[in-house]
Amino acid sequence: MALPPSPTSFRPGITRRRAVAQLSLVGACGALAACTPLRIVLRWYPEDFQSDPELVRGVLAGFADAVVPSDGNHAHAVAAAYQDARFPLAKYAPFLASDLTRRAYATGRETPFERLTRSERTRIIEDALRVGGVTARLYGGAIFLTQIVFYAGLWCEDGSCTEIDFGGPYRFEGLAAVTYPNPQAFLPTPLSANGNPS
Amino acid sequence: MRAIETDVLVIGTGFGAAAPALRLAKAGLRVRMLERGPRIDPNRDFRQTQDPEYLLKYLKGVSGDGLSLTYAEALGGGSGFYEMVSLRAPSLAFEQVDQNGARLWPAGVDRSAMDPFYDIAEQMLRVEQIAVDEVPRSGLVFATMMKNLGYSCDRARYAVRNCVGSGYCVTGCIYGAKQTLLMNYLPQAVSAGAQIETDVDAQLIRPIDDRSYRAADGPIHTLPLRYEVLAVHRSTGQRRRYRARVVILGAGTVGSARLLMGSHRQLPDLSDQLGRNVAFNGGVKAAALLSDELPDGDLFTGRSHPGMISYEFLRSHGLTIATAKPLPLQLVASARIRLDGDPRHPSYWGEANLELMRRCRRRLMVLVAFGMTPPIGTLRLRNDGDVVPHLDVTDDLRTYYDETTALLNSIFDRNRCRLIKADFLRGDGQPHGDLHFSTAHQVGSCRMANTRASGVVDATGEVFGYPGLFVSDGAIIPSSLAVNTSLTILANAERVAAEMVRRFRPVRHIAARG
Repeated sequence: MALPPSPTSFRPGITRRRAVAQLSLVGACGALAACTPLRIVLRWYPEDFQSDPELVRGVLAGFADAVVPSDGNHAHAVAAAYQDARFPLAKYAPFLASDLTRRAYATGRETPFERLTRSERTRIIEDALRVGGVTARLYGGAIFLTQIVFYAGLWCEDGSCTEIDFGGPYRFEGLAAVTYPNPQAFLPTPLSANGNPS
Repeated sequence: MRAIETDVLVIGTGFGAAAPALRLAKAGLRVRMLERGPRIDPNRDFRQTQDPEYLLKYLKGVSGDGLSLTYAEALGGGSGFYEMVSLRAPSLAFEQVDQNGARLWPAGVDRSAMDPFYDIAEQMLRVEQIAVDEVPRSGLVFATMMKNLGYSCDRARYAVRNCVGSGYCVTGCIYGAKQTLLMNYLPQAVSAGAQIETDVDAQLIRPIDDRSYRAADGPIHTLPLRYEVLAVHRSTGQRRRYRARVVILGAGTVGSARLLMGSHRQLPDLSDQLGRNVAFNGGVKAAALLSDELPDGDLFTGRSHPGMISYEFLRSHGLTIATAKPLPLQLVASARIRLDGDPRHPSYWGEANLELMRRCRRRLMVLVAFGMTPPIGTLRLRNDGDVVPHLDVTDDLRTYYDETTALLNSIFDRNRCRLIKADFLRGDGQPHGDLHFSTAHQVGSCRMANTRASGVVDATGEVFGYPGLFVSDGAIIPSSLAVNTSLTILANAERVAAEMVRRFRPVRHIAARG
């Protein structure tokens, strides 16, 4: 499943073409800066990804949707966490978005990452993880953050995650909601007199 | 900078600090407590949330090769954030020996010697065995699994009153049911005259001069001011200086060791055992999806600890087994999980993972074993003043881990549960490259022993070579306990405090009549 088009994923007009051109430039400089750390340190990726947080967020929403392929409309909200300064990924988010875009175009299709089908996006992420080294650590860290943000309900107002039947902060429903009637029937013989080991 | 003078300076406000502060204040000594973390008003500050900003305000961690330690930094120490499990350590725990056959605990300290102090600690925390009809569903399912195999299982004991089973015990009880130190020891200490300062980081201890700190014991007013503690108020950066006749470190296994290691130049006679002998309760986890014959569990809801614990393997393996009920954050932050035998890729993220996570709420069971692993962890002081733990993962530890994992998996297998593979993660989300123990049950680092050659403090908690300087917290506990550590830390602190009161209680003079 492809993500619905997002008006924020690329700025209107020439942005996408410009991004492709800049990615090509980065590619041409590959001999100098092929390794991920150098490209991060030198910020050797298209300027748009450095200056346009909406562009970054749009691409990373495609990433979030592949990592947690829920049918819910969570991807853009989860992707906001990648740029949240409280999380260590924030400073790498522009690079991650540019790298996903570069990898999407490297497949030979003229479709930005977030418009690819979910299985295509999944394949791209898997390929990046297989690269190993810093690239795999970056992608692994982004997957880790995605799962935390999504499953812990950090992305929505009420802190819930209905996908896993997690209701967020507790609303008192009585002990019956978390216990069973006739509990004695569940219990084997205890070893202790009062719960303390001897 | 004017020094603040007091009879007793207690550093820390957690389980190891609260008992001596209360007992000495009640005995009439002037007591001042310094807490590195923030003040907490339980009625206002505790929240049911997984927001990292909230959690990281109070919960801290240090991680190194083989070992990660979590601890709380807040008024009341870990008492606001623990699962309120309050169990006495088994007799066996006190009888552990080192590789040379020497008993780890000092002479005279065993379960029977500790029992009167356990009584006091239980009374103060209002510890009771959980009522049968309050045992959470996951605990009942665990009990059923053990029953199916002919094993025993016991209802555990908790420091709680009027629990509504709201869950989120580990983020602070918003219902005031958990009996934290904020509800008993600390307010009682304040009522008895103790003063508490929060956000104050004690950074250095030094004897006031080489002669006076060695002064003989006696009623507190007969003793000179023996130690000076330099501290910084963390919010304002203001420097503070304290002078005390008695200094008690109760800042925890990490905090007390950090302070002593940072003061090593000023306290050159400290034992070379400082920072060593860290025990970690050998926590081993295994997970599985429940078989269809078993009823639903209640992951993510209800009280954080599931109410049941099995002592079945205590005598034979030195293990206790319980089940854990992590919140979603704790689950995904601790491990990459995938269903054993599921051939799909990717396995730990994407469709397969989402499907597994959907089943967790009612069908995931996590078993946790705590064992009497040897105290072989260490803490090292870094240049930036923080400490890093280290654990040499020995062949014996690997064997322990493999055998314990096999035991837990066999409990699942024989209940026809479907195993889950877990790759445990570092803080940055990458798997640990090798066997790694993560715990909040760390003890040791300043262990008590019969001699300076084998420990940092004696059986009364007094630092070898430094009269009037004490450690009273988990740092002096010399071994793993195979159960949650809080009650033993508190009971031992009560034991240490009783001796302090005996030694330092002021003599009340009766005015002579003319």
